[in-house]
Amino acid sequence: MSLILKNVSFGYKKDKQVLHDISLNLEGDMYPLAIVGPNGSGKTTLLKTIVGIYRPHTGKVLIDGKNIHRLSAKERASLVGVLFPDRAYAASVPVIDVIMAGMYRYMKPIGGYPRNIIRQAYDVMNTLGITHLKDRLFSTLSSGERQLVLTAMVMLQSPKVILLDEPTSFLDPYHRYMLVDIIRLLSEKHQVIFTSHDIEFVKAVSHFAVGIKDGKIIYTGKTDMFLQSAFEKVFGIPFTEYIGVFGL
Amino acid sequence: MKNYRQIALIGGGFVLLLFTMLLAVSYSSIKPGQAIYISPYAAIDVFIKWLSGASFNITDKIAIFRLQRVFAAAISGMLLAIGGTLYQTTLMNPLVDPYLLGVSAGASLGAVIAYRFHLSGPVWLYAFVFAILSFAFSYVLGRGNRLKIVLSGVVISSLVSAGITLVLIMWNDSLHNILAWLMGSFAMADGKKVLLQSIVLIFVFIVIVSTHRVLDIMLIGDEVAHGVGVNVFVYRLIYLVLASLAAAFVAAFYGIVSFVGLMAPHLARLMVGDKHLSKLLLSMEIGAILLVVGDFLSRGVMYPMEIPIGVFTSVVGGVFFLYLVVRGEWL
Repeated sequence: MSLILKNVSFGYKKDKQVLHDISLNLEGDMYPLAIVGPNGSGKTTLLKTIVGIYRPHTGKVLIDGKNIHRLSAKERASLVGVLFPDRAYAASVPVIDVIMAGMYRYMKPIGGYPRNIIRQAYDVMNTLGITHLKDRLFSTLSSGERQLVLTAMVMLQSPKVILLDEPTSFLDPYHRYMLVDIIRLLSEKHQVIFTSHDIEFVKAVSHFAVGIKDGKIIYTGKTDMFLQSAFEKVFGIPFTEYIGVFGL
Repeated sequence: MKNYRQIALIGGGFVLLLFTMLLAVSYSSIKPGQAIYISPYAAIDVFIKWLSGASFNITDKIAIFRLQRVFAAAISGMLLAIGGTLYQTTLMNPLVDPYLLGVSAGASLGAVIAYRFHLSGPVWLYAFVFAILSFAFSYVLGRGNRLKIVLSGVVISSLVSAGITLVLIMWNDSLHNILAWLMGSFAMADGKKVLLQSIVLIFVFIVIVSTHRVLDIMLIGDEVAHGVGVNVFVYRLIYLVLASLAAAFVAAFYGIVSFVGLMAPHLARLMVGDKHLSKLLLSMEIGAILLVVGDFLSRGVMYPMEIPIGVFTSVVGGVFFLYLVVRGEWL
């Protein structure tokens, strides 16, 4: 699996670029990969460009050699998926339907799913230990349960790359701890990329890190090295000073 | 199992709808003795005669007149409920419906212009184009915020209503006629309109029932829907056009019927949740019942004078809207 960004530029307005000529070449052994940068550095924009929500003004995003902005939505979903639990609306829809949404690309025209896929959904629910939730309404779940349900959804979807945007931003210590397990589980079969400025979490989970500031990549390499050599460039504080206060 | 409850509610809603429709055909006025009573059997009998094209006597003709009107109210309620559900889901905003977005007013203006200037082509086409235009205005002006889009919709609505009044006054229409357009009335129901509305209803219904799971996924969120491979842009466009089409086919014939598209989906949601297959079916039934009952009351409470249906729906719907705002769950 390879994920290649070639000279990607993007901006919400034509005259104001958020991403400047970003090129990345991510290989199979670099995951889980963290995109690290301060607020407003363009990490979420970069993530949304990789999943195809934004179309770059120049350049392209290739997964296994395929330009994801040229694929149909369903073809794209087999290559790249998202896990954005804090941005999911708590609809009063049965959990099983939310999980089955992961298999949208196999849905039959009139709205049913093939039987073998329903069986796969049960396997995934077993793995995550949430089978007992299947008939509950998504709206009645706790935030941790919702996170698990959406994890089951993206596992069932089974794309090559799974993207998470600021996954720890609204989590209490328990759910943050649980998320480490979820990302490790996802990493067994998928390539996980997440954005974060939660340094402890990045250090605990990611293998490689990409440092981004003002829409430009300023570091790509192992997470340990990132902290020692690029942390100050990205966040503007010497790393030793930071851990002097917060520990790590 | 939850499914039985939903089936029972939808089935019950259907029976209740048929019952209210029959009742509304039987009595034209709630003051007994002042109008011809048509027994439910006779009403069904006439409906069958109507379908089979047999000849009618004078009572039959009155019954047919009432049947058309009751069907017009029921189908309009269904169309508005569909419009409201589609707008609410695709815009992720529980506070919108064809009326609050200014779509109903826009469509009425289109129809009024087409009638008054004797423009060629079907009236509903003008209504549809104006519905899309007023939606586009509300949407662009109110982008990014749930309350902003309602505000811009209400402003567009009142601007367009002023336009309707102006056009009608310029052409010396009666005050009663102006009111009928601004507040809605089913007095103008006829067989052709009912037929046209039915065709649109069936078309829209088939599209949304065959894609109801897409609506479920879109309700969870754009990013999730995009991630699993839903072409969010295309589906949103389709649903918004269908919603505007449904609203236009009510407003083109019967004027601005307020708030039904807001109330019906919310009441249905309270009973069966957000799964769109059940929510849509039940909200269609609720919308139809609201308008059949509303039309019945509007004919009867001040007999022999008719009050516009919008008086009824605005009172009930306005209170309902305030309840939604005060409760603030949508924030």
